[in-house]
Amino acid sequence: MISSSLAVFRYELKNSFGIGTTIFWIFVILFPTILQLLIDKYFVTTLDLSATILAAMIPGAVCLITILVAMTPYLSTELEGNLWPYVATRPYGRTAIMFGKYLVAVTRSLIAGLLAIAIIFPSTSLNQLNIDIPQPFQTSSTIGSSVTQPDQKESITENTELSLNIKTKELNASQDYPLWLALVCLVILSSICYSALFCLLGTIMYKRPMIIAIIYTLIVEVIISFLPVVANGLTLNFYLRSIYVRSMDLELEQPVLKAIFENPNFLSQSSTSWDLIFVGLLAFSFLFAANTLLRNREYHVGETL
Amino acid sequence: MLKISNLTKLYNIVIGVNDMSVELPKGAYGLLGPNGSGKTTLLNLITGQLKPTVGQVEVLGERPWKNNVLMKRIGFSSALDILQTKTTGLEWVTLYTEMQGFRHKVAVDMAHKALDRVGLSSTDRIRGIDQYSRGMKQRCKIAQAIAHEPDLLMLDEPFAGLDPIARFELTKILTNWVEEGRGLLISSHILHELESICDSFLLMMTGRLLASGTIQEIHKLMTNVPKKIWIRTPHAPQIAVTLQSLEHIIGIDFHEDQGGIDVRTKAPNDFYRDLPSILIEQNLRIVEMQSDDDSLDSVFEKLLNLHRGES
Repeated sequence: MISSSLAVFRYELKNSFGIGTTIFWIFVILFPTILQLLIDKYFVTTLDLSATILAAMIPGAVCLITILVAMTPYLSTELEGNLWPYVATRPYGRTAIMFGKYLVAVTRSLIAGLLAIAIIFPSTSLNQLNIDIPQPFQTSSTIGSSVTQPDQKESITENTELSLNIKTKELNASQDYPLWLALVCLVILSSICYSALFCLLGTIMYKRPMIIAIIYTLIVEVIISFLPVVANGLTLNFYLRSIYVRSMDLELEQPVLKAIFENPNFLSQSSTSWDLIFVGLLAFSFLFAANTLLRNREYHVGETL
Repeated sequence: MLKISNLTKLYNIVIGVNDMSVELPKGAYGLLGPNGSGKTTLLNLITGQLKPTVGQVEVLGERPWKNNVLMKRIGFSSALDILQTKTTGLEWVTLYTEMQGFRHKVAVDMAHKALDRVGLSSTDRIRGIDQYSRGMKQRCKIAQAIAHEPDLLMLDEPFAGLDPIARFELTKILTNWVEEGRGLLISSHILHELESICDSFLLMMTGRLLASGTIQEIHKLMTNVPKKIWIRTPHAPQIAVTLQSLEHIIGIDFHEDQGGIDVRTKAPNDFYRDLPSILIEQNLRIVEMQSDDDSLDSVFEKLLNLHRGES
């Protein structure tokens, strides 16, 4: 089954880079940077506001859109393309097609999210905002040009490696993480969890998967997750934002953000470890349920009886 | 090879397969029936894509539904056209061979071998499937079904949409397959397509197995079903009067222009035997004569009536 899943993964990943899809994908990756550049032009941002906007733009938009396109119609494309009979007549074929395409969705989402982070930090004001924390995708000359006088560049260049090491140690000691690192973690978690969620949605509602997934995301992951009720604890967004906010230990300055993130109903009250376990369990149960459904359901391809 | 016991498949209130029982030893079998007769449903049940509502199917001694071991031993090609894929034929066949549990390099070699066997050229196999003709897609579908050397090959309407040359070549491929002593179950709604490949046939209609037998037995069934014969003659009234006295004649209709007759007989062979002597004895002449083609429709209709106890 693993080798079949990997075969599907290799095949689907290769075929997922069509011209149209790639152009759309690049646009999605660049979208947060373009938006941030516009924000830079007209507003002054603070770390907490930038962190929120980035979370909404990169894992919340780049990853989600990538997963939506890559994962949700995984079953309907097989059925509509009349390819299902060939999948269903392979040993573990149903499971292999699901896991193979799941891995493709996670990979594409990870690449998109990480590329978006890699582009947005050096190209926008986030560069200056995070000068006090290590920046993995930033050269020493960029740091110098953005916040220092020319005569200071040399000393910063010489001391970059040292300062990174010191800062990393400090961060590890205090258990909070820089914005970029928290975002990378969020991208990884979002890719794994939302791919699993959309996999399940695509399995249940295989006839209109995209529409169903969009409606579900808007209602459950956007509206319900931000309602100060117990039901928001059933959404992935609730746990992911709790992990994200807690991992950075942000000092909130914006009143709106204070109102949201200091309200105990908006964030999980468990520890980060429990939140991670819960999110992992959710992703696993989504995949398990999808696989169980897929293996036990009958699918009719074409109109002939 | 195949054992079907009281098999029924319902799609809500629609019957796909209706209480079918049959046991087939290893060999080549043609599954015949008009469109909508349940052939595809039966093949989908046999290949484990569908679960029986009632009864059971055993293929090579195993039940196919959710049976991963059996899937390694069968090959299947659907009647439906491959859509929405820009991948090459080679990559496509390689994927499904890998999904049979073979490593990538081995699967590529096996895919090449299968594509050689079905006659898809080296240049064609590295082109996108979306650029293929119907015949090339059909070859590709058969290649994925035979690449892993299954014990039993099942093909659903493999001749559909093929030109005569492609039909001839496919017939050759399948004849070779059968000659190698492997199992074959092939569906079609046209008898002569399968005559040269299969030894025995199953006749289906409205989800039921109406009859099974060898080609001779099927032909015998076909010669005894009512047939309509279209005759153009300047002596239509005289011929009609003579023919109506024959026992096997069911009815005679005159053409609107009075230049011919349509004769319906329940024994076409007797009719063809009697007609020349009638014409010679009475010095009558016919200009043109045609009969319905030997399609299976009339056989199916007759068998269905028999099955219902109507005649």
